[in-house]
Amino acid sequence: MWKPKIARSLAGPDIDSLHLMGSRCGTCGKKYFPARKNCPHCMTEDTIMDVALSDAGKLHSFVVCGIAPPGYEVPHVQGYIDLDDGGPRIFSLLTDYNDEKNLKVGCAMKLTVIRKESGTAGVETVEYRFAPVESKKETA
Amino acid sequence: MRDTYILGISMNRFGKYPDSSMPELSYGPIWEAIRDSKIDPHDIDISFVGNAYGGLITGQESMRGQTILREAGIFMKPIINVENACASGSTAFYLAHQAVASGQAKLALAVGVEKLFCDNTGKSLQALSTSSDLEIEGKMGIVFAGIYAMRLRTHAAKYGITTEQMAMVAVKNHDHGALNQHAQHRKRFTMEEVLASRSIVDPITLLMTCPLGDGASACLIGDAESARQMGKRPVRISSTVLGSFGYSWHDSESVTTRVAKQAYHEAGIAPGDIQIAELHDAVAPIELFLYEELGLCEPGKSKDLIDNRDVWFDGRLPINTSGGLTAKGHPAGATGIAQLAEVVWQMRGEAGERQVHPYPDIGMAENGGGNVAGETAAVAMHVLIAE
Repeated sequence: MWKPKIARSLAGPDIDSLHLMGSRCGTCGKKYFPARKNCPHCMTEDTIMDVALSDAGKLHSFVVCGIAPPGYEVPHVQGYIDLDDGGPRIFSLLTDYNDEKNLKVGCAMKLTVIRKESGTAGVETVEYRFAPVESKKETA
Repeated sequence: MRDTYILGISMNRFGKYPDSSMPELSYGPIWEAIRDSKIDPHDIDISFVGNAYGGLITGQESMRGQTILREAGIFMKPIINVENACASGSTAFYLAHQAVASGQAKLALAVGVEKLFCDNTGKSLQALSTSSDLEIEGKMGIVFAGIYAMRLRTHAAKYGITTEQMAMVAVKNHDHGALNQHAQHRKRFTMEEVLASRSIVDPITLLMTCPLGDGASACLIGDAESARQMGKRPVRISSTVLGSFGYSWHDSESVTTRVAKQAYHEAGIAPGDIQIAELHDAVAPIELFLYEELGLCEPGKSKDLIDNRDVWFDGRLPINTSGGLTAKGHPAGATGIAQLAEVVWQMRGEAGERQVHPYPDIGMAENGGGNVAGETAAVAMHVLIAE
């Protein structure tokens, strides 16, 4: 069993093949993350549908923070990713970049799902992160 | 809708007041605003009390306004508790204006207050972090300083803004704070000192951020007749606009730009008519971004305003002559009305050593708060015109 930390943010047939979940409005074409009940642009529930969002995107902006909220490690790296296929710009923590130099505005990013204990037996909490596609280690 | 005027306005010096409760902090500014306005306080028809984090910090919930006005001695008439993140004070002001403009009240009181210091800094920071959507962005590990940093980094890369130019905004605001007896920080710093202070989130350093603080502010709003009787230069509320986040699609207009355009339109002015402004510099260099969002300069030209020293109190377009949030301090709920106090004092020639000459006739204040869906949750903007 698994449960997304943020409601309606991840979906898939099993925990090993999760993808980002969002919504798309059939009238205006706008996409939203996480998935939602209506289109706030058209203000109707009639045309909104759950869709799988792309698991790939480009890094719009990022920052390495020397401070972090309780429960998170430092450095705390956050960014905005423009998802491919006309997806929305989403906020994400960044991971598996090995070296900060691998993070560049515009670089290709991919989804990484992390699993944590939920506190309930047999249920894991799943969260999303993004990592650069190219993440070479510094070789000096 | 009828014209409304600021009759009296006041704030205390922002800072650390471990021995003062929120009602005690508010008492002075409320009565100074009443005395400033020359009104009979029995005639106050309605009060709005803005506060954001008092419930989390002190435990006093659901009727903080009543506890504050109990201490002040203002009873019986309607008291409305107002909460809108760091824009709580300007939202109380917005509502007080609406009450008078609509004819519901002849005289309305707006109060803003915050007490962020307690015996546990972690508790204070935790309270501040609740100004995000705890079901969504709050669960994503969002860091506010990081959001500002990303805006700055993207903007700086696009327009070639240097870290030195960003630091100079902090230098300016500390220069102004040194001249303001109401400011929490009253010390000048050099650009080198700003850059050498502890890095919070690249490119933001400690001396570019606003301090934790306690404080209160208050304002009385009335009609044209009350303004004529008050004896000081009448300051009319030409427009006051409150807006909320939108879902931001890649290149859509920000909430700040939307609110500003509406505020200028309702006031019947252009951004170029503004002679003085108090802006929400939660981190000093975000001012550069705001100059452009608010139309105070062309896109990409904000750095020129700093390089040419246009935005110092003796420059062409003085901005944050109070010291801004950076130096004056930012007791969240108190900030919106404190910004307006600075604009009014400048218009009346009551700003002391940092007085702008000639006294400005057209001014504005912009106050934002919270973060939802990648946008500022609430933005208030007010245009004041002195007669």
